[in-house]
Amino acid sequence: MKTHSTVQKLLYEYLNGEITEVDRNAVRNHLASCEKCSVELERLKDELKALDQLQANPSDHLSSEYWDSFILDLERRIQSDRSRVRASVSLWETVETFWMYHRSLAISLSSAAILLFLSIGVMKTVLDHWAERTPGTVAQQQAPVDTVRSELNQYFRKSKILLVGLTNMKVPEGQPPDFSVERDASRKLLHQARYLKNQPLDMRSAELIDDLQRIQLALANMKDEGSLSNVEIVNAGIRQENLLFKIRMAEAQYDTSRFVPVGNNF
Amino acid sequence: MPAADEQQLIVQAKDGNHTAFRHLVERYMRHAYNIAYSFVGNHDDAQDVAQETFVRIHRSLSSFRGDAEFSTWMYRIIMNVSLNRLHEQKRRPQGEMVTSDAVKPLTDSQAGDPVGFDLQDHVEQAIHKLPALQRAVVILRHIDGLSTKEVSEILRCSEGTVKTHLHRGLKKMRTMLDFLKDE
Repeated sequence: MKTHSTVQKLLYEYLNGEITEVDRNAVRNHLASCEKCSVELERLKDELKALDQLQANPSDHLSSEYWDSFILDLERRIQSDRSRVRASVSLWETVETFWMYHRSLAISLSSAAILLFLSIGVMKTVLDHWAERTPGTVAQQQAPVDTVRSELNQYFRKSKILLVGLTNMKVPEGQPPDFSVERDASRKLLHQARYLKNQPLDMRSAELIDDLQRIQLALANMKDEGSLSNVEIVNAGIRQENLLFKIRMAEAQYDTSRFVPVGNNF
Repeated sequence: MPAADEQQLIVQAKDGNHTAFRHLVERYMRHAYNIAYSFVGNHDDAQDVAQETFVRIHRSLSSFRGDAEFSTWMYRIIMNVSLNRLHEQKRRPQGEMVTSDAVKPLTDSQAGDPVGFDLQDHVEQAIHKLPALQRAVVILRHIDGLSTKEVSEILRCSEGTVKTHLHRGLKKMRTMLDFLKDE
């Protein structure tokens, strides 16, 4: 047994014959006993009849002269249209049609695109923030000058300690020399040197870092049980380049602790 | 016009044959005008919509692949142009509103006193008050007599969506025409 509202929803299909056999019988039985729904059916019939009788061919009232001028006007419009840009129009029509008939899909796609852009923005911000905190990255290439001076000084000081230790190294007779400490220290200094070389440096400091890098590279690649002859070669290099003197000079240049603010002198 | 002839005309028009395009226009111009008229409801706009439709067809003919019938494609363009025109009509100041003899504004006094204003006039006015898509479905389905499937192809949506718009449109029309019950 169908309700009034269910039957009234099916009346259109019932009149157009677009209804299942079961529904048709149910509607017919309901209409036989329901005056309200029968009135609705008659109303719908009248409305659909009125729709069908609406002037479907208004062109019938237009003369053949009118259609001749229609074609002439059209040809003029097509001529003027040719001079316009054509490429963008079909794209716009596609967008227009898509928006008109698939509005919800278009909104979903737009929302997805906005979310994607936002995600990329957030990810970029996070990555930039992370890069700033990680030493030796490209993001640090523009580190403040004071920080560079301080790190440069630190690098020279550690290099000096390493080289002094190496030149004073004494190995007990009959035992192989152990370079593990020097090797680890050299590797750390090499890492630091790479970072410093990406910073703005004066030419003398850059050359000194190059010289120190060569020594540190030789030490970093030295095997656990290296021979003393290797150490002698390194020491000869240190002496030849006068590296310790150069380091002391550079330290004096970059040692920020040697400077005090002007106001503190008074 | 047999389908083969139409196909031949389309191919020739695509190749830049003006006579072939003119034959296509002569074939469809009345039909285009009638559909446009049922949408926009007055002669001036219907003429303009029909002409604009053929201008767009001429412009995009090279991209017409023949996946759909030519008439379906034309219907689609007419729909787009008509709906744009209706938006423009809405934006027009009231004084500039085009009101031809075929479209009589349904004033409150007429609604209350329907003498000389028969059911067809009321129905036509009600159609023109429907939202764009519902209006399109009602017109294509009932005035142009297209099947639900054909309407769904023109609107590029499912038959179910067409039926939904049709139901809603007819329901709204019924609400608008409710005052006739009291006659």
